[in-house]
Amino acid sequence: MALWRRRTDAKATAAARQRLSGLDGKRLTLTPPEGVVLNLDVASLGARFGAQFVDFVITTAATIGIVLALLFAGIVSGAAFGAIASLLVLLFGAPYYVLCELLMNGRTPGKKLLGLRVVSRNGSGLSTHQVVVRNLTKEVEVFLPAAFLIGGGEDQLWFNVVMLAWLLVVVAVPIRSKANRRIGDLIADTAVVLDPRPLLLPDVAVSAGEAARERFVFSSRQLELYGAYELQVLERLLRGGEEAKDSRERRQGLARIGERIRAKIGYEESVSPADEEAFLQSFYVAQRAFLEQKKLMGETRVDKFHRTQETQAGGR
Amino acid sequence: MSAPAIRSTRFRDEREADWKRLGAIVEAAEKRGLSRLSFDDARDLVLLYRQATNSLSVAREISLDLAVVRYLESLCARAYLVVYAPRENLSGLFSRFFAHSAPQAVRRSAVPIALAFLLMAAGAVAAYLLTGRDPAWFYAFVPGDLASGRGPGASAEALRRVIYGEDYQPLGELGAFATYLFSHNTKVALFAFALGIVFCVPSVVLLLYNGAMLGTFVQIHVDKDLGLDFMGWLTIHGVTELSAIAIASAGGLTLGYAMLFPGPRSRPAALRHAGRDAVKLAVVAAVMLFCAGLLEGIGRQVVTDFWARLAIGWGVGLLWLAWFCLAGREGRAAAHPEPA
Repeated sequence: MALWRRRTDAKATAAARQRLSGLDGKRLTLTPPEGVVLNLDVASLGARFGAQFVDFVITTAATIGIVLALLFAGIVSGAAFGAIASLLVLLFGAPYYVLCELLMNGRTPGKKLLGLRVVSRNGSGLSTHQVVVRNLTKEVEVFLPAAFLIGGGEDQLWFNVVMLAWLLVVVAVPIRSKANRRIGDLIADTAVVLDPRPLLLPDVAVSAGEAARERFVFSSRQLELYGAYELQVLERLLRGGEEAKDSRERRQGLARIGERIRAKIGYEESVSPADEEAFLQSFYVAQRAFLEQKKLMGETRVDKFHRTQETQAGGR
Repeated sequence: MSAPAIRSTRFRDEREADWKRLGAIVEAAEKRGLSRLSFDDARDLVLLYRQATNSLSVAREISLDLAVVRYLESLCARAYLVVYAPRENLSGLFSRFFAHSAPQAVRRSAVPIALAFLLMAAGAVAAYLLTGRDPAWFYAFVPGDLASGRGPGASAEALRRVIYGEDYQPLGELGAFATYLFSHNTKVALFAFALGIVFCVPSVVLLLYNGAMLGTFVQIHVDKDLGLDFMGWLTIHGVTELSAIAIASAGGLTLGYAMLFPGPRSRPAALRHAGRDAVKLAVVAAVMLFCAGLLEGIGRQVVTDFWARLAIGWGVGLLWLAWFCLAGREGRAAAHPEPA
């Protein structure tokens, strides 16, 4: 029983930690030739459907536009017209997607609009072969069921049954897949991820004034209690409302947290509400310096339960 | 006593300018293309990328500043996507495919292609013999809409009219091309390729069946002493078209073989390996079917002379053969410019 409770406990904190670092949703791990592992956010099925829809609209509009232009220009007669139209339909199928993804670095116009990108899962660049494979299978995997759904089925019963079964498979595979990969992605060994957007936030440690850091001094016994998780919660809290700095609510929140920290670490001085932020900032800096020092010496402290990285990995 | 900045803050301060610069270069490369970067930016891109990945792995070890780790992670991912982007331009892509990889893939797959031709021939011979014994077999092999009036009961006159194009053509030359694109044989090629993955069975069945249709058509024409004329009618595009079907099916057979006998690899790995050549075969078959459509739509209506049809048909066939056998022959090292 106790063991079970600890397990769920660990699970809950792991989930909280994931939320903290913004890691909700599926992640894809790539190892580029440099050997430094990169984690990318997997594109959601909704976003992928949206991108496919945008591409579909673009290709259909282009086909109709060209056909209408030819029609009004009156260059071609009826028979040649049919030939050109069917040729356009073919060209705006797989070849459109292959060329777009090759020339636009893994994106089609629809994917670009929704901020998606195709990556090779083996960590080397996307190869021509992979792009061709994942878009050739699109013909059978996406267009065929779509045409079936739009066309509303055929006369033969067995054909409809087979198509419906195929439709189920096509929908079930990405849902079941760990990185929302469709069958074409599985064969080509690719995945669709969200375009990473680098955003560098200011360092909280810098904003702590030197005077405050000299005023609030912590002993190593006081710094020994918390771990990296609590530190990063504090970081988020301090960063939280730069724009709403003077709001009362934030002040009260900081005061509450400061109170609890002081109680926990046994900090004797009382702090006036105006100094609360300075106190927390200097505590953050001292705590981070302490934990980083420990980490450098080989002692990683994940949270206040003093779990180390190893036990955490074992618990998963 | 003045408190010194902590280690991870110093780490960040020392490198932040480089990270920002890399971010700016990557942004520019994404917006305007790699080829339009300035000389300095292009030179520094890879260097800065390596430094950033280095910083990332160090930051993961020493820094508890979540902002830095997360920023570096996205920055490196972004830069990685630019540095390892596919560097293809259209002309290079096409010339590499047609001059090297396609004929090489065909040569590597000579055995399955020969097998596909054999299976088709076997179907044709069997159907020829069966239809010769009992013309009713014709209806077993040929679906109604494909026969278009041709059959054991049709008169020699009617057959001759189809062959020499005196028949009424409602759509004209290009119209015939259009219908061809979505015709029976394109579908056969597509399915023989795609379904081959189910342990070869559908490909084999489709090859035998397609051969059977050919055989039974030949039989009813031979029966009316129109054998040679039919061959001429068929040859002009049939050489290309039947070869395309054989090549597409060979792709399917390769995939099915990988599923049946994966060897030391796992099945998905074996399938991926076989897929490299199979996909090229499929693209080659698509190109050939396109040419066959042009030959059927235009050539067959314009050229009605028997010998001209024969010459064009086999001439084009020889050109294909020459392409497959002669193109892209060079040293092994040059044959694989990249492990794609």
